[in-house]
Amino acid sequence: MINMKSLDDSAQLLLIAGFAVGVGIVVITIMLNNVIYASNIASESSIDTSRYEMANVLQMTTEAYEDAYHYAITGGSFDNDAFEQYLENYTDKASQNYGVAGLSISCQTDNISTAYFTHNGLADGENDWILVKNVNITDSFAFAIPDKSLLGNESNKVMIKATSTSGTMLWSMEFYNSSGNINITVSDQSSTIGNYQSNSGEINITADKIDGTGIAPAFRFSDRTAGQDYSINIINGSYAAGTYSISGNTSTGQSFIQARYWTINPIVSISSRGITINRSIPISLPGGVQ
Amino acid sequence: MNEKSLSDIKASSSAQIHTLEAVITSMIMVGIIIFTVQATSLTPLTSSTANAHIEAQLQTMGQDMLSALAYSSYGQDSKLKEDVQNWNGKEYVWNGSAYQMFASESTALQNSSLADTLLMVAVPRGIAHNVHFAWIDDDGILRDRRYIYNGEPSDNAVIISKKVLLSDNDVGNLSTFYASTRIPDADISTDFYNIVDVRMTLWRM
Repeated sequence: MINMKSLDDSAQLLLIAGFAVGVGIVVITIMLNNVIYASNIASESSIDTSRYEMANVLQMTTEAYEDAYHYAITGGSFDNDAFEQYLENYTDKASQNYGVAGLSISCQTDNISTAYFTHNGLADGENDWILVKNVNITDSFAFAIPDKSLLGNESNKVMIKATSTSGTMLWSMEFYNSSGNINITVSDQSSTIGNYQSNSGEINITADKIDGTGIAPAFRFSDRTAGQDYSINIINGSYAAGTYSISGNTSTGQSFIQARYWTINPIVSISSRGITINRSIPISLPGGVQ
Repeated sequence: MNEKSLSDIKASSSAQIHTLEAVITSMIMVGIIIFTVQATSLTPLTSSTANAHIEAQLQTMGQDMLSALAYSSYGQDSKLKEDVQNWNGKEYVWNGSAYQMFASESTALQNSSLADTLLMVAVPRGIAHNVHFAWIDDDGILRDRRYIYNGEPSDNAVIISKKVLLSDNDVGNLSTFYASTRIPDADISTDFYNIVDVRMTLWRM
């Protein structure tokens, strides 16, 4: 009986040891699994696919609005039906494309409206911004302010200035609302070139014209920027609303043409399972002109 | 020494043997696990924890390449759009020094920013790559054609895509473009042409 009891003890010990080893292996396996899982999650977190996809949608939608505008003005005047039809077809096809990837997109369009001289064209947009940089030659540069009630007064002057890459101000034009007229002051880096007044608010900088008529003295924009690598900046842009167009060549030899007659602010939504991103896109029309 | 003391010593030595047995058993089991893991053939393409990092790296690299090519300034077409516009519908393959036409070895791929970027980024790092142009047809089915093709990708390949909008004025002659690329005009009633999905597949050799 004593021997049997001793054997029972041994068997119990063996069982306990076996259980201990088994539990140990399970623990180690779970820990290893967690390490692998955490490592994979950490590596995958470095891929920001949603931002990448959203950037693509924004770029494509901006181009679609610009192209829709070009299509809508083919007949000479703006055809709103053609504009909306183009955008509807674009949205349908974009939805199909993203649907394949398990994403749904929608576009809530907006009415075109007057553009401010801010970065994105909206009244609350960035006030001080660069219109174009690394410019070598500006072939044409004109702007118009048809609604002078939106133009700031003397204490809120709007400024257009050309600045060299070294930071030197080469040329500037300041304008403000003075009793329904636009007072304009043009300067270079050392002195005032001239003071002018506009009634209808059409200023052609490179052609030296105000309201369609030649002026004296000339603005001398081309003189003062000749041979320079410069940027064109707008300061206090929210105090003016209207249109602009500019064309020329950059210092890399690339030509540029851009214009803003209107602005539009549609909202794009992109959704995956559980996540929805809504983003408004202020778009300048016609934008880049080709 | 009495009989009880002798019994205690015997029980103590049995416990030591059992403990030793348990330790040896666990060592054998751990040894078997290590042997099993080591016996599995590991190649650079075997799925492992390291592959997740490589995939993430390739994904980021591909996104950067396509984002750089999709950039357009001051109303110019992006390089990526120009590549779609300039495509003649042919398939090209990397021959070790240039991208040549699959059907005609003497014809190299010209004026392709995608090829230039891949040559600069992917080729020196030994990253194999395919590029397809895909679109949704009238029946809502995804169609694609090969632009650059270097073989079947591995199980750990990553696909990065960038969608490009085409309008009629981007394409030029609509019938000529369709005849060469098979990318159809999705909407004949307006200037909207189609959306092309540039799909780049990257994998480690």
